[in-house]
Amino acid sequence: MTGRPTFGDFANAARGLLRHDPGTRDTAAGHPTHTARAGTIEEFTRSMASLLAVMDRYCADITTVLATPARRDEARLPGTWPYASIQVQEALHNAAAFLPSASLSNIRPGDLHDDPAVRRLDAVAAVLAAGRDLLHTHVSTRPDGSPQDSSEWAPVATSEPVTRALLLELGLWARRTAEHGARIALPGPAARHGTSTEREQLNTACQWLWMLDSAVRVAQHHQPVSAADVSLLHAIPVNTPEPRRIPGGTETIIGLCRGATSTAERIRHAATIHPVDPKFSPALTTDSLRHTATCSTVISHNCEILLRTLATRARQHGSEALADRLLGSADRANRARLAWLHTARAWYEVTSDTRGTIAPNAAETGDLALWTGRLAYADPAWTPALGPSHPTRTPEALAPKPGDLPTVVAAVHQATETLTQIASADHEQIQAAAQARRLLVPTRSLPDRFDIPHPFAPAPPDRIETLLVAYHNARVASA
Amino acid sequence: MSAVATGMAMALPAQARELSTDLPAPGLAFRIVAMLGTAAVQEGSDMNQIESARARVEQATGLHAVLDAAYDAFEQMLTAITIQQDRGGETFAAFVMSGTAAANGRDALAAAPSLPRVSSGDLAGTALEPCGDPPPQAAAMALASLSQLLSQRLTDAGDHSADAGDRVACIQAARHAAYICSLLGGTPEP
Repeated sequence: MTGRPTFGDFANAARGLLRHDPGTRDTAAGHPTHTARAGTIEEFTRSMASLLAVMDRYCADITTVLATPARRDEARLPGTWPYASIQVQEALHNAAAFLPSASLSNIRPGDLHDDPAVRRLDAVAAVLAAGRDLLHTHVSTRPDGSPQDSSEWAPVATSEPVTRALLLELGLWARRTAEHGARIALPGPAARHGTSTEREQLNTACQWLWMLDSAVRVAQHHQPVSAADVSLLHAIPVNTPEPRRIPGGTETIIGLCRGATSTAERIRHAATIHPVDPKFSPALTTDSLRHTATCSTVISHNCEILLRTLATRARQHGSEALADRLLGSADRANRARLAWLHTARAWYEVTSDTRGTIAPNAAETGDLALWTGRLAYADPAWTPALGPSHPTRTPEALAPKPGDLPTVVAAVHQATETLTQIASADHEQIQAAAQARRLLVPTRSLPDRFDIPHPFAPAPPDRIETLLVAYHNARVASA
Repeated sequence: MSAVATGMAMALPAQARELSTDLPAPGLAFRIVAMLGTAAVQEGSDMNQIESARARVEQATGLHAVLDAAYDAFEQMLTAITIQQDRGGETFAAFVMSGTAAANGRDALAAAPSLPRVSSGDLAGTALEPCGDPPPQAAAMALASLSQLLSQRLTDAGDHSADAGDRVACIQAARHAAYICSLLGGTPEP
């Protein structure tokens, strides 16, 4: 939906490169065809050692999830996949022991080897390293060294089912690497230059890679990884938001859905990656929190309109059951709208010690209000401001074909998921800000008996409580 | 909203009741109400608070009085806007955004050093009256008109203020008022 690179892009590229017969012309590596020069066995094994080093890093990640020391202690007999992960790790270490140290490789990034087979292995190593880097964008490290989720995909990337799918993928890479290596190790008139010892060592390394593959296949036989888990692994996107987008007024329905989705992801990403310190940060401003609550109210209003329009369209297509479910979702969006409205109003009676600016993250909730509004309303230049008239988009215009319904529903889901996260994040921040006595009220709003010689006074507990309850209700209603 | 209204009512001194009892000068809001016809005029009685606020802002003389009247006007706008928010419909988004802008404008003025600590207006009495339910378009026009006036008066007040704190407060509040005006279909002064 958003066009971000996914792990599947890299995994499929590696599969394609390894599927390629090293004897044929070199096009799979993405480089122009070079004048082929058969390299030596030693050159090949160095590249293979580099590739195995990358695989070993994957394996370390996998065993961290499947076979942690604590889990090994818990169960005397490890489960199918944890046991396989341990076997894979041993097989990789044994294979690597028969190859030159990966650190001895004289290939630097950007170098292109003359030998197509070597070049291909280097390309696979680079692609797999990039794939692993992509997975690691979802987890960061705390100052104490413990892992910390950096995105909403982190629980997926570190889940057992997806980790098993990754181990299955690793088995495939190892098998195909072994096939290439065994072919290179064969002696003969057209063979590469190399000593018999080098050939034997390469062959032994390949045998260990087949052992690795066997361990994975046994696990797959006893406890198969589902296609859905493999798909989920491949769908993990890089944890980098797309650039900020603002609707230009010429977008199609698909374009508006994409804009809403990417903006929703940006907001959630920012909430995860850059939470401000509510006790001290000047980025926590009244204007930001009010703007976010206000725009969330508008977004949930737009989502309700969209869901009701989609329900009508589903009924036109004869999908009564779907129409009923969409109407149920519309009712929930209406409850979210009312809950967010109470939140926005709770802010009428409270302010903070920092005012006057809207943080960039908060400003993007306004973008999401625009994207969802332009989906919901017929006017391509819709804004929240009053105009001559604001007719909503007709069901036929919103989803011309039955197949268009899921696209719009997905965009609405992205928006509502974002509102849930906003409510949760802001609730936490306001709670901390209240503890730091950063929530205030204008002194003029207090009864006369309060003689406070300042324009603002600490917010009374009942107003803070009202605000926090409003956010809690907004989170529950948006979920 | 009740806390805002109640708080303001309790903060009002009894001696300063004369200002908004004067007949307001015929301004844009009155021309608009006249245009809306008899029915709207009847419902327009529910917009008395906005008209009173408008009259105070128009007649205010001097920085203290302008700030005082403008602060109360933002409060009155909040009350009126809240009623319109409950209607939902196609005007919902505009009134939700306007409410926040009114709260921001009021808070900007609250920081002005020259703002009297206690309101001198007589809006407390009207604020506690049962609020009516004027049509959204009529309410939007009246509120846009008031916010346009607020923007003008606060810009002028800021320009003539010697205190930097007052200037900043006036400029910020004027900006929020202009935003309300644009949201509700008015044309803010450049």
